[in-house]
Amino acid sequence: MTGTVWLRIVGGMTLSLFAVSAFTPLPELLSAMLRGSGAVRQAPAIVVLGAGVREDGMLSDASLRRTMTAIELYRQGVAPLIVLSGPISPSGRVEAELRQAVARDCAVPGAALLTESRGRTTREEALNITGLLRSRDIGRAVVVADAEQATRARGAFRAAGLDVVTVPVSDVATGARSPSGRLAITRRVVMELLAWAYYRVAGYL
Amino acid sequence: MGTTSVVTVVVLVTSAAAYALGTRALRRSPRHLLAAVGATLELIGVSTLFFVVNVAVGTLAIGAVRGLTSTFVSIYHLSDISLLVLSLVQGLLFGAWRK
Repeated sequence: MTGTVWLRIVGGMTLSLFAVSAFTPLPELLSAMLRGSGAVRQAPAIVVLGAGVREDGMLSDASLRRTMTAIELYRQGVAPLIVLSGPISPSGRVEAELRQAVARDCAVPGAALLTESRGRTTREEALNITGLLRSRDIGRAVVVADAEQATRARGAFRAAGLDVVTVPVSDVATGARSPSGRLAITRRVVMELLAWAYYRVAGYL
Repeated sequence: MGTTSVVTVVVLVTSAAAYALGTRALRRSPRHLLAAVGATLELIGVSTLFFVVNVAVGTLAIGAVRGLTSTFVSIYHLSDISLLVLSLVQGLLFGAWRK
């Protein structure tokens, strides 16, 4: 076959992938697979993975959403301690500290809050937070993570030596019915599958 | 009526209008349309290759910066929508130049 034919085949596959991603429920099914299932159980700590700070120094939507989910879990009595993760951002604001301020504003006592601001990747967060909790004789936790990230986060924490269940928080409205919503989920699924493959190859899981 | 339906109907209506314009005003035949579909797929294919190469080069570059310096660059920068659009432009331009 000529190069032109191959290019047309690649083009056809790309268009087909676009159509399936935008107009069928496949992205949601893949997202649900990555999210996994499992009931939230009582644990000594709730861990909230980082999700970024905006250029203007405010918490990103995803970061705030995860923080509020952790606060809600704390109020439900899931755990007496919240570990807020998040490194320093280019704006100079530390995500973990911004989250701590939000939690305090929501009447979570300071004694129930810990911060970890050295982890820049899921693996670094897993290693640092596991060390932090292990130093307090804590071997179990509930981890609040992005929906598609949940499987990788679970694996990274277990590899680091912490027994965890994940609470997935979706950054795209679940049950997305619009093409743009499905494409946003597709983008997240593809990114996460690549990250998962990298973690597998690197031996982080 | 959902977004999917609205988008689909709008695109079908304008496509039908374009087909009518092409066959009546421009006197193009369906055979020309088939050739145009092939050429379009080719351009999309070139753009796809540009996107894959851009992501691969970006990943390697970020890995090198992380490994060789103390600077941390997030791999998530590569998920910016602008990379997709620029890859499309690269593909269209290179495809047109190739002909």
